[in-house]
Amino acid sequence: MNSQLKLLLSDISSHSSRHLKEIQSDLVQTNLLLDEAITQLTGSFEGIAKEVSAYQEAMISLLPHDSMERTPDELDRILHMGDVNKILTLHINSAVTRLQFEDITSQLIRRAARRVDGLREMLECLSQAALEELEDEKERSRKVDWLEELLEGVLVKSQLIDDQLRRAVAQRRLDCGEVELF
Amino acid sequence: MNAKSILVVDDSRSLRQMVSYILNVSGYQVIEAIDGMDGWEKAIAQKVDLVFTDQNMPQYDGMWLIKALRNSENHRKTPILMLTTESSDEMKAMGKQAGATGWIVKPFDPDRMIALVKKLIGDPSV
Repeated sequence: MNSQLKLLLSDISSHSSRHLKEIQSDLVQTNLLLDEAITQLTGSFEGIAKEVSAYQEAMISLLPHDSMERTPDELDRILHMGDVNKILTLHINSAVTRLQFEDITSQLIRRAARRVDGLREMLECLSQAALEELEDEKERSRKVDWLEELLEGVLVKSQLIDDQLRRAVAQRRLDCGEVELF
Repeated sequence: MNAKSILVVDDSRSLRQMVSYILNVSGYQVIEAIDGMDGWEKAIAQKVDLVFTDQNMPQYDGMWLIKALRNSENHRKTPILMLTTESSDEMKAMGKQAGATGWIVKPFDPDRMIALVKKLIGDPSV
């Protein structure tokens, strides 16, 4: 009976640990890919804004410098370029706000990865218990003590995970956060 | 003409990139740092007119940086804004106690960020 119990604990520990390691690896990789993607996307938005701005300056430089010499059509084009600039700025600013989802979600992903790591440590308690000697002839009360110690070890590890993983992200939408001056 | 310098401390590369872009476009000079210690070293080595700092960073967090800067002669009065996902009253109270000037909850709005910067340190030109 004891050897079957130890085998069960050992198997649960090793299989679960292997799966949790895979989950942790996937979470870390997801975070890296997100960071890379958002960094490049932000760079692209910056590039678009700079190019449009440079293009507009070039267009304006082609028009007569003296505003008195400009035709109504040319003045309209300058006004239109100003409007385009305002709209572009609005879209870029909106993109900057929305792209911050990466910073926010990466914190959630890191928290999940650390919790997975904590779960693996919890499972090590089972693995350690499986290695301990527990002979068949030991009386029942000793076995109960052993199981209670095992449970206590798991609970302590579980509490440790909660203590180390305070929830820092409460956002559920990407609306702009509040600003407060003290 | 020299531009005013703003130190941006955040462990997220993309977030630093976004804040820097918004501040640069408005004419401010930006210094980037990856955590509290890096921010502290850069703040004491060069002129810094305002600091944006994240709270949750590995090892040296935002609270640590604020306390370190407030204990330094040069940055007793430098405006320091916490830019973080944290929004609890408890954390804000801790930030205020440490010496933060204000608190911005992520995601930030670029227009409001620039308006706040101008309110605290004025236009980009020194």
